[in-house]
Amino acid sequence: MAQHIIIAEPSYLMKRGISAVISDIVQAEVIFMDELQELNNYLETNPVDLVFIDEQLLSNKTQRDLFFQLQSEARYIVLTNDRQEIPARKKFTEVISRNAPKEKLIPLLEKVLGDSSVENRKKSAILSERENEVLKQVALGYTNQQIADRLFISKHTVISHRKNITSKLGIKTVSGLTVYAVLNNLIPKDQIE
Amino acid sequence: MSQQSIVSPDSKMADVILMNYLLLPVINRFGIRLGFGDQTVEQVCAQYDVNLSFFLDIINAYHDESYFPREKMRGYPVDMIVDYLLKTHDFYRQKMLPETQQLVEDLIASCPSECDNLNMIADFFSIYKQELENHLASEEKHFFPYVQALTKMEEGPPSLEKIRSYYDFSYDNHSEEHDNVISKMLDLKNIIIKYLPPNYNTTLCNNLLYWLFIFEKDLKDHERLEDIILLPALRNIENRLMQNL
Repeated sequence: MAQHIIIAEPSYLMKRGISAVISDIVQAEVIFMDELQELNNYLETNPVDLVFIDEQLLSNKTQRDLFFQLQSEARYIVLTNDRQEIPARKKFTEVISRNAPKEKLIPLLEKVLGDSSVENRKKSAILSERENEVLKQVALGYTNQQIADRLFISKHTVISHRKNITSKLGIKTVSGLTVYAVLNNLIPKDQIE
Repeated sequence: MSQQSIVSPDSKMADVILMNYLLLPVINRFGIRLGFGDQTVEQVCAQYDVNLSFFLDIINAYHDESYFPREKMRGYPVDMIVDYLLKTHDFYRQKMLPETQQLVEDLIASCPSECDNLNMIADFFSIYKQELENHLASEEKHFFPYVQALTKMEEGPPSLEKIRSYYDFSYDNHSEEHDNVISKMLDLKNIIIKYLPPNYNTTLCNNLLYWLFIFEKDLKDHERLEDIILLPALRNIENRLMQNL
């Protein structure tokens, strides 16, 4: 499956360049963004494999704090000018200089792109038994809190299962998950409203 | 012309379509129809009384997803943007939704037996269709009139009363609804591609999928225009009005 990659970068030349280099290495669905706010909104609700972010975008403090608080499974590559101090260095998988030479840049990107897909990291796209249980409950129309109560797990765990289900199946909405559950005989059709 | 090409006033209109046929419905939305001969974009726009610069920005942003001149686009009159969005709504209602519905029905009709699973997909689409129609109607009833009312208010002396009377529009719900509209379209595509039961007609199913890809691309562009151009414009007007009180 194609990886979901975001390029958050104000310069058109850079955007095009990064995207061309990526497409030489892997098959990817690339989304372009110019502003950190846009990126934050997107990451809140969408599964993403990898984000390229220009350090220029981190200059707005409010949005930057939001960005650092975000819980996303994505990996991040930050693009910098040389000798630039990067805040919260450990948030980023790699720091790449705009002036990096090819022999340094390409192997590094190959490494990150090669194992950055959420699916690869999970080893398998097959749902675990627990995830199947949660999926059934979602398809039957229960809320996160109800599911937590019924399966004796915390609401936080339910939400994390749901994120994994979505990234494994590529289906995000409740009605989409319901169709999936019926098509795969997880629940009988007459049990849904 | 390639993916990176930019359409300019003296590009031939026919070349624009040859470069990217997906632009055809976008061009139609401006009231422009085929039969351009060798006329340039500028000449055709003049003939149909279309704002050249706005037309070029819409076409270029649609053609190349990495190109989006936001500052320039935020400078266009709100009425011009709303008018374009309304035409897009008409296009969804009159063309995209009925055609997709027909393709779904054709697919179901071709199913020889045990069609429960295919019917699930048809049900999913008909609920989606209803939701999208509601979303479009709600934008036309609440969002666009609010935008237009605010623009008019800027012309006269502002009054708190007047502003409050329009203040029932919710930004949060609006972007949530957009998210939902796009997500369900993606889900539908994914379900068909990955999990479709085997008893379907290949040609009919491919037709449906092609159509869904085109529909999705158009929806994304539409959403981008609303969320990145219109909503910030709206917030700016609100802030200016509040300051002038």
